Amino acid sequence: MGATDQEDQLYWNRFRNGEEVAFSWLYQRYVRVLYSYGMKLNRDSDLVEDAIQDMFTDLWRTRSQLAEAQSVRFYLFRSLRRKIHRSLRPDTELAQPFDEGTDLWQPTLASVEASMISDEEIALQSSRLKSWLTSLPARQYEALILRYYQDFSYAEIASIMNISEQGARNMIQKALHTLRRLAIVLSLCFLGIGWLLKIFFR
Amino acid sequence: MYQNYTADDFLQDTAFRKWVLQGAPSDDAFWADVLLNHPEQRDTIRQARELLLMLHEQIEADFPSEQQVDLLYKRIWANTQEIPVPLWRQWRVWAAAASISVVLGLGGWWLTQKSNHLINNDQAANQVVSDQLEQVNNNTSRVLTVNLPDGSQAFLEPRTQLHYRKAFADTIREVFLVGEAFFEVQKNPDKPFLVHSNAITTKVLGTSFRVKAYQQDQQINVMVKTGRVSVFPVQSNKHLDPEQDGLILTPNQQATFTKADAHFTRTLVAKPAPLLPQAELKLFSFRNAPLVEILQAIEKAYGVEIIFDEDRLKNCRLTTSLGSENLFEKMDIICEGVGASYKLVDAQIIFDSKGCD
Repeated sequence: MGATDQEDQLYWNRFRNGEEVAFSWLYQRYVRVLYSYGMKLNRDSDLVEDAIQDMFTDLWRTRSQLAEAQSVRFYLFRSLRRKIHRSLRPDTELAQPFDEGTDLWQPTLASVEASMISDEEIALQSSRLKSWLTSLPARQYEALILRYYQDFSYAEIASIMNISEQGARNMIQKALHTLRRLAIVLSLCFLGIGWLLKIFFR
Repeated sequence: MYQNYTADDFLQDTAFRKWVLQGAPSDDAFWADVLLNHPEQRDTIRQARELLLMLHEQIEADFPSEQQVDLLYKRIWANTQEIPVPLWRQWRVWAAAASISVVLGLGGWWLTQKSNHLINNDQAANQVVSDQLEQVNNNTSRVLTVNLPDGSQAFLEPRTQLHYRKAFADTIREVFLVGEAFFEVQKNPDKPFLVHSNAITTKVLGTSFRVKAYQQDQQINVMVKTGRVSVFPVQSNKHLDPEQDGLILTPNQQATFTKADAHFTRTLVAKPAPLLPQAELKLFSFRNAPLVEILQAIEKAYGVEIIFDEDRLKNCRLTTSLGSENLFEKMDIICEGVGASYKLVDAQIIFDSKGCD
């Protein structure tokens, strides 16, 4: 990650000097993950696009006043989250479901017990994990994404999500704990051996 | 080390993430071994693996389309170019006032200066339009040829991105590279051609060379086929001119820049090819000729420096010719012929022989 951050800083500095290529480079590098992250905060794609547009427009306009960034990635994620939350009505901010569509898709044990060890089961188990992820409390899911997709430190996650560092740790721990519990239930159902072989040697 | 790993530790482990997300077969063997040695970690590893894959799938499922990405950028860029209205209006009012005062005949020279000012502003506006960026992504699995505005060509390897201005600037030709590409640059001593790739810049006047600078690689390589190439770090702590921290490369040489310590090393490319045309190479045919003469011919043919002890080799003679083989193949043949050995130190070949009787 070190080399990537260094590269970011380089382009960040060039962008601050007014080089459009560097600005476009930063945009190209981050727009996809930022958009996807934004969509996890709010399913309204227009709202997310507008927030990204505002953020990058502001960046370019204020480029000469920007400081050197320790982590460009961190700066962008935090800015986008603020933009999205500011564009929501304040009272809906915390109540906003993380992912409305998939929240309803809860796993049911009965369907698991009926299955046998087969390829379909792997697919099924995956879909169960998926539903587990999306049925996590929104902020736990967000913390998981920031930590394991974006590699942010606990301190950075805390600052992005506006919570304490310990709060960020707890959130990740809770999510992982739920995962472990779910995995135990699942492995009891599957007697995992055949499945493991398939996963590791497919 | 792995016996005490938690799911969090695995998820933070670079090697683990690489295995899960990129899945090289060589990594499979390593992690199968870890599993064998730490059966108690089986569940943890499986959970971490599943979680990582699922998170990535979920994130990538929400990626915008490429069309969305392009459109959004156009919208952003158009937004940034908007001139704040009040200022513009003030300026026009001011310009109108100026022309009125001209009509009133307050001074001819002042009029000319003013109108020059207006023209310059228009030119600046045109500049913005023609300075638009071109961006090429090679998402195919084949090499993609890009014709640059000055007639130079870039051959992009897969997973490579190139940015450049639709019209190059007046004094400089600049491109931005992420990935790997071979460049054939039109000669133009007045307009240097610069390839910016990550932390280094490669500068040439007209030549052909390859730059390999993928984001995930720890090193950047520049390999020269013809001409002279200057490579240097983008920023220097020691000198005002970063070029002083760089290297000048000649054909068949390669510079390797290590990102971690920002250090250049010079070596030869993996397969140095003869620099002379095939027809000229045919002239290098040796029948029982002195080895020294043959080594000097090789130096010339491949543009490399060979270090040897002339005295020791004075009795060595060999029959050989130069063909299309690469330098190292050629050196192997010669060494076999006279019972010698060689090694590569930086970009030089050290030829070691006990001499011949």
